[in-house]
Amino acid sequence: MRAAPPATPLAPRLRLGAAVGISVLLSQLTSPGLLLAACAAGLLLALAASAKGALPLRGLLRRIASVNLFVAMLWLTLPWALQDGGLQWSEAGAHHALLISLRTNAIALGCMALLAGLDAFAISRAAAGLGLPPRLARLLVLTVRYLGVLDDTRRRIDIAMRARGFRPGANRRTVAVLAQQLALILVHAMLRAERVDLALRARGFAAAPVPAANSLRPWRWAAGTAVLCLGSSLLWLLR
Amino acid sequence: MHLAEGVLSAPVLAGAAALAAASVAFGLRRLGEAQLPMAALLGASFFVASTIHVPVGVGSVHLILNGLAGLMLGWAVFPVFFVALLLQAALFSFGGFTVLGANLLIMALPAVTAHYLLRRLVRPAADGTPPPRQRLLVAGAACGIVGIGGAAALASLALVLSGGHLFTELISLLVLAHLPVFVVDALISAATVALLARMLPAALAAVRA
Repeated sequence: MRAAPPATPLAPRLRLGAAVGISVLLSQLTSPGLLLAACAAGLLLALAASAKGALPLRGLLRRIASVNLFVAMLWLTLPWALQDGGLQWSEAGAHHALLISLRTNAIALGCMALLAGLDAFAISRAAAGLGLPPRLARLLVLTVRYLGVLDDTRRRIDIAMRARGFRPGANRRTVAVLAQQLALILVHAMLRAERVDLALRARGFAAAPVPAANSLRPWRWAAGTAVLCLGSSLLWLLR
Repeated sequence: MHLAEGVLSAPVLAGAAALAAASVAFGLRRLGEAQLPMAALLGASFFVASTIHVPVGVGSVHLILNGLAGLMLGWAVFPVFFVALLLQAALFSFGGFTVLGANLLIMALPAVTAHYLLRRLVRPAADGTPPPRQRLLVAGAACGIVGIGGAAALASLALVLSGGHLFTELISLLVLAHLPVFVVDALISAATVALLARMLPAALAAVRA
């Protein structure tokens, strides 16, 4: 039996590039019909990703809810105009709120569907491969590497605090304890940075390069530019 | 504090993206190669700290701490926040890719302002003695005030430039919704700066790019 071929390293990069591309495209659309269609397509794709197990349904619903918190604020303010007779419904404001709501949801659902199943490491490699400056790419990779370590530190401190009977509330004690937790996380981070620095010096470290394999080849840049031109033309036609 | 996708106009998005890209490039130039692990660790710390929730009334608010990050990181806060906002957009749908430049300016410009306004207040004396506790508390609280206040002001400016009077009530609601964050961030930043000065005075001058 033949082993399954390894996943192509281009796929996450393409998906991240496509997510950025559709975000730019959809953010400039002004047709409610097209935006509604984009929302429906995004929702279907996100649900399909969820059905395949790439995007847990609870996570998807939570992310849709968090996106729509801002949308709720829009609907509380834009369609209403304060006039002499009190609060009055404004058709223009409602139309604007509808357009923004559709755009926000279409972009969010499209990005969730495209990036489903990619973890922080995959996102960082994809972003580095899309042409981030090497130092920024290295900062991104290092940050992702340390996120897990420091989240673990936070969890351990949190468990220790709760084991000592700490229950957060809106009071002075909570401010003091949470400040201690934050200071401890920062001190842990700095001591770890010192150890990393010492270890790197001991190994004669100068500057670790970003893997060259991640850089885009010229034909991929050409393909990307072609897609960008196509998208711009499409946008111009749709407007 | 994130503005959502689809709200800002194309000129505001493009202008903010250009300004943010220039600021990230400047921040990267000031950030030495050897300082990258430290900047990444502090960036990851602030990312993790932003998941800490503080109960307020019937709900809770999460920490932002952009002023405190600015105090410790200086211009390096631009690339560090770029990384954080990119990950938040991709993994949690907070903000987004087209609005990344605007959100970066909203978060990082007040942070750099806090750095230049407050760094003298937390500097130890020539013999290494940390500044008086009261001064540290004032500097920490000011981090929250400058950081969150500046972010709210810049978010309001971006909305005004995009929609004029249309967004007036939205801006009021946005500012009102962030009042608890403003207070909590200032209180926690104040206590944290005072603690850091005692625990590890070098922490307050960690990167300073």
